Amino acid sequence: MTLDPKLSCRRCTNNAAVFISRKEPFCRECFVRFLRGKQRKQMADYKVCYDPSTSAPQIPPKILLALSLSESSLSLFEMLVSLLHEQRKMHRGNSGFELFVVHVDQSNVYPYPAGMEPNTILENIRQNYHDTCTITCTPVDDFFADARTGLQFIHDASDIAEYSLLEDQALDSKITVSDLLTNIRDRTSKLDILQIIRETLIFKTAKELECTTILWGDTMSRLAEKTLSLTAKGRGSVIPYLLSDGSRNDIHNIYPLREVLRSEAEEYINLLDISKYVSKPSIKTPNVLRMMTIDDLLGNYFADIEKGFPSIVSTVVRTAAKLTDTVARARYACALCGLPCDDESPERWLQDITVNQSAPTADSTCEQDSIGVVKDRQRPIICYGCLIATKGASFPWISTIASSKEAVLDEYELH
Amino acid sequence: MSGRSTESIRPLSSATCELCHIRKPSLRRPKTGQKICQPCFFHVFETEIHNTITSANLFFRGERVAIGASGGKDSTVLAHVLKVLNERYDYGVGFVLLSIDEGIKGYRDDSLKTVKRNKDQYAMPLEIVSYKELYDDWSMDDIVAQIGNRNNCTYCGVFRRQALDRGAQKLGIKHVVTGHNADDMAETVLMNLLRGDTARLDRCTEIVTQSTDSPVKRSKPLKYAYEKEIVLYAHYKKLDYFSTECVYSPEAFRGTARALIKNLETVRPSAIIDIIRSGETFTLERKRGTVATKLGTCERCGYISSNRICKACVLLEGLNAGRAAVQVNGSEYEPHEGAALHKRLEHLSF
Ligand SMILES: [Zn+2]
Ligand SMILES: [Zn+2]
Ligand SMILES: [Zn+2]
Ligand SMILES: [Zn+2]
Repeated sequence: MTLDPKLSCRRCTNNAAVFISRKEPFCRECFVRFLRGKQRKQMADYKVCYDPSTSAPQIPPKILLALSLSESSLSLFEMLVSLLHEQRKMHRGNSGFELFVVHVDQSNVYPYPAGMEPNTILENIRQNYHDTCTITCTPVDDFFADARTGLQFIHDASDIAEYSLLEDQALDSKITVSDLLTNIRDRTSKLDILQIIRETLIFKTAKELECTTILWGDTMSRLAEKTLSLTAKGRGSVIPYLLSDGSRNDIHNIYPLREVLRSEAEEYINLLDISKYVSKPSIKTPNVLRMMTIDDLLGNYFADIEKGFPSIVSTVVRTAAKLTDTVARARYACALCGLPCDDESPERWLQDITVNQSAPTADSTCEQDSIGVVKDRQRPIICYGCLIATKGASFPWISTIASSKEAVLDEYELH
Repeated sequence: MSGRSTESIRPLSSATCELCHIRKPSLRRPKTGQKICQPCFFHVFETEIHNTITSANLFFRGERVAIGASGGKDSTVLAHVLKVLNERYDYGVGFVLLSIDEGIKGYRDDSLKTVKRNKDQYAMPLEIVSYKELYDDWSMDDIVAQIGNRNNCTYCGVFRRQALDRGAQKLGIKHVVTGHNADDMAETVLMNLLRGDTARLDRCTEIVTQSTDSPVKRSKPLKYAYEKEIVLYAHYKKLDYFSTECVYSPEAFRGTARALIKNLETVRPSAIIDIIRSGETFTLERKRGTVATKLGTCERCGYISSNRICKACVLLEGLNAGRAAVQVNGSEYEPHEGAALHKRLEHLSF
């Protein structure tokens, strides 16, 4: 962005402005302080604490940062490092937390541009930050390291996958996440499943490292996208559970960037010269609407909105935060995504409004069709969102915006 | 490669309907993508509405229910299906068609002709109430002539709601069913999220709305019916409906939410019911105080109102005073962000 060189920072009124955010011009220093302030506000509990009787510093809690190597998770990483440095300086080497970092390596699933491979990047980060944090890299295939977990997962997901093929491979314990994903046709479902796998691994790492808190790098923009995307995927009931700060799987979760826009996080890593650590798989977002995922679609929608109307982004996030968490004490956990759910058979709701019977014939009244969601075998409880994801609905025709009779007939009538 | 387990494999090039396996398919079902025949389509479409009605215990035997009939596809399909189901399952409900004449030339006068034909086609009594008779001789055309082309839907929303209630009361009826479809429901969920309307977010997917400021119960039997399937049903049943859209511009915000819904439906056809499913799980804790609002009646017109003067009378006062534009600040009908924002939202691309 090229700014008018005469434009000065509104905060210090001294330095030249380098970036305009939310209509306010900032100099480099003020902008960095502004964003760090937003992160520190969310993490006010992680100060250096002293024992009141001995006045010795208390042992700091271990916290785990989920580092996806995106712009936002990297900016959160930098903010945490700077907070640690500051605490050590002020408190004679003591700090308010011990920082662990985990990256789930999915380079077996997606190709990465040369030089941007996550293990190369992580090695660079390790060299520069070894004195402030411990960095772990977990390959996504670790998900199947425990053969029993793998088999259970495949069994539960058998609707989506070429069951026999996967079962054979799993028995030889050669199964990879890549195998699993190639057998899911719907791109939205693929990402959904991959997301579940990543989060499972992050929680597993947190338990192994005995971390009591996980920090997620999602910005306000991403949280708004996720709110709408979860809604669109029929997972609305878990929005407060997933997107609020609080306890999940006995671990505390915080979104320290919940008041930071994606564009601000991007500018932050540029200004601090850490954009060289960004590592993203080379996936092209398709141009054809019907090939997009629900997340692609909402990403585009909010990218447009954020430019002109950042207030809508914060409205969505604030509204989501007001929703009551009704699943926190749910009786069941979905066998697939592990999230709490209260409805033990969402397929019943679906069957009522998506009837799968033929019209009554002359000799029989109502013939029940055998192709349905309900199965004879005892099946585990699957939440509504996973029920839909595993149906892999994807239809190769294009829909129109206006449902004019001609357009609808043209599209759906068979000739 | 289909990549699906045997129990859910669908015939690849189905020569026969995927539901009855007998007849030739004639359409692809928008909700599921199944290739099915017309009789099976009618069957599933009607049965789903029946299931919606019975699982919500929507009607009771002997009840008199008014169908808010605009002459458009939604309410025409609603009237037709309710007649069919009432006979097939013996609900024992007495249905009446109730129409509002807003006084919009070229739109309402023609659609009212359709409703009058529906009256004979469905053998249901018809009651028409007009804005002119209810609201100091103001028709919608008169209102637009005075206030210009902005905020039309604010007026129409307030006036139409009261008009339906008054029409129902005139007939001694306490239950009005409307033709809101699944697309409308999903759109409302997204709209309420985007504009942070927590007063409505958790209730907007309820099938029955009985609000404190209305003496009449409202319900939406088509809440799970896709707009596209309503179009197909009306076409194959050769129903007589009026297809021109209202000539006055709808709220811009609604336009972007609708475009988003259509895009989501393209990516995943179940998205519409998935959004409604999500909406049904949204819960918000309410402050005690809001429930206890004292209900009275409007000083001017006697209609139930929590304020001294009801919303319709406030709008009327503005019109009568001849002001060019009435700002209904704090009204639940006014979106929070202001009209300029909404104007610009119209031009958003996806
Ligand atoms: Zn400054
Ligand atoms: Zn699940
Ligand atoms: Zn059939
Ligand atoms: Zn009044």
